[in-house]
Amino acid sequence: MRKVAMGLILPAVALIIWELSAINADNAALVPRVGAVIGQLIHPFSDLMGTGSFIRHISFSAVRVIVGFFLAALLGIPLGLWVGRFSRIRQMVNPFVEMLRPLCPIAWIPFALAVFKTTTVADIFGFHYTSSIFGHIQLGMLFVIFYGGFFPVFLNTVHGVQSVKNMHIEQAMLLGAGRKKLFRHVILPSAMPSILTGLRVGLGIAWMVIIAAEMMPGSDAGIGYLIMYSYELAEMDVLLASMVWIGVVGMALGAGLKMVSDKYTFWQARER
Amino acid sequence: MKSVVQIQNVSRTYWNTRGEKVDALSGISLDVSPGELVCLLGPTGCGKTTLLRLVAGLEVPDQGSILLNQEPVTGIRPDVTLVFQQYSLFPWRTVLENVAFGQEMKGTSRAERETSARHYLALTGLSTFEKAYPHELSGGMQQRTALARALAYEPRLLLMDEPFGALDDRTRHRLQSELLEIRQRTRQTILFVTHSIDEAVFLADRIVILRDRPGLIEETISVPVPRPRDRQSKDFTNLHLEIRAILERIIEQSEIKRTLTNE
Ligand SMILES: Nc1ncnc2c1ncn2[C@@H]1O[C@H](COP(=O)(O)OP(=O)(O)OP(=O)(O)O)[C@@H](O)[C@H]1O
Ligand SMILES: [Mg+2]
Repeated sequence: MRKVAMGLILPAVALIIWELSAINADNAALVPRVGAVIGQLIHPFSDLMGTGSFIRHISFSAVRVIVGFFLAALLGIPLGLWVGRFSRIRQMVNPFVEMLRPLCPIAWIPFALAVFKTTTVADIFGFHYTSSIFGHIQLGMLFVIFYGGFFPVFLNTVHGVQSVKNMHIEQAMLLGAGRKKLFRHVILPSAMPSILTGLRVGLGIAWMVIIAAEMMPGSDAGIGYLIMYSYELAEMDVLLASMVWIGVVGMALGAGLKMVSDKYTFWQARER
Repeated sequence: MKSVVQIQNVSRTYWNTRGEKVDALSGISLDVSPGELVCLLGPTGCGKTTLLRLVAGLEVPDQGSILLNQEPVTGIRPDVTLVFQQYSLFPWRTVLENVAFGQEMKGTSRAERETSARHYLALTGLSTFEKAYPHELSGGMQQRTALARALAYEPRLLLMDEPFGALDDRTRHRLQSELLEIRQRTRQTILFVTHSIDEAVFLADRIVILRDRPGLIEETISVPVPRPRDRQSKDFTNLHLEIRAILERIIEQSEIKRTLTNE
């Protein structure tokens, strides 16, 4: 109880400062009152400026991130396991990875836009007869989410495989583990905490990148789009409520993955 | 009877990070018969762990050869296992899953391997901890789990590297007695490394005393003390003193050598 109260002090101070500045500015198109933003937040299903509700925009952003990040994990984990296992391949791959890694995924957005235009997943698979969500998953967005999510997943997986204790490998082989079983019963569980850390970091980055990508031209929905659109219409209460939503969803994604990962990594934190 | 292990004139040299040569073992020969319990005894750094790693197939000798059941050792073999000097349980597995690991690798069904694992956990007095994880165990309990895991694998040859080194006297004595009991039932062949004279005299059929730099066999003693062995008996204490004298001589000589080479 005391801990919760302690955690609430800073948010309360922030809200008071905000409210005081809003009263002082007296201009809802610049700094809306706290009440106005809360008014938006408690109506997640109502239409906003003819673009749909918060829930609609959040769903689009979330689906884009989930699809793009799923692809990143789908490639990053196996590739990381493979590269982590063989030093020769690591020598070949490392310089390339180190060159691409510091390149901020957001820097790729214009390039992705130029290459993929506004092609969507629905365009590729030809699902045009229904206006499904696939019509809103732009390839360019998937590309930058993939790019942002891939490196943390890949690099943490490589690191996880490399930090498997030699003693555990020897011990397993001395108890009859062949190559395949060694991989499944020793290398994979040893590397699991690191892989899950990679997933959490990667998902966090993907969630940041998608907001930026949705702010680009050619975007038609999503929480990033909603921020830009409400900015253009000077609907500051919607804009700020969108930002709150980004924080909430980001926190939920992180907490969800953390719950999964705690199940697989509890032994590591307590290892002595 | 044919030997389980034949170590023939084996040498192993390491180069340390400063580029200096370390003769860990130089010309070791040793046979172990089926059902025999041989203790390797020697000062720290004399190459005991190295010898076990060679027999286990984790490393290859620079010279000489090692035969297991008349076949040369070229790598890790399914009928040999090693209990490490350091704790080596898999931290992501429960005690039961750790002990069942070897049978799981052999493809034994879950029910069967858990039954056998429970059997060995009972032998080592860990039954109530089967659902615990290694980090929840004391050092001694971890070492007992490692012992149970090795026994549950049912190897033809069991190698043990100071498995009781980190335990208090009481626990160590209990585990030593348990090991002897288990061995009597299973006729398990064991090559056991220790630096405790007491432990060697209590356990071994034969004690092989090694000297260091270079690592070679100083003396082999067949232990004449009748079983069950009594630590207070005359035979026991006499042999203890005799071996102590040998070890002191070895350590003294290597200290003299060290001061000579340093000058
Ligand atoms: N990988 C290595 N590189 C260099 N030197 C090594 C290596 N492994 C062992 N040595 C050296 O070989 C010698 C024998 O080592 P070993 O571990 O076999 O000793 P030990 O008899 O098991 O000692 P202890 O009783 O302390 O465990 C030591 O002098 C050690 O420094
Ligand atoms: Mg050793």
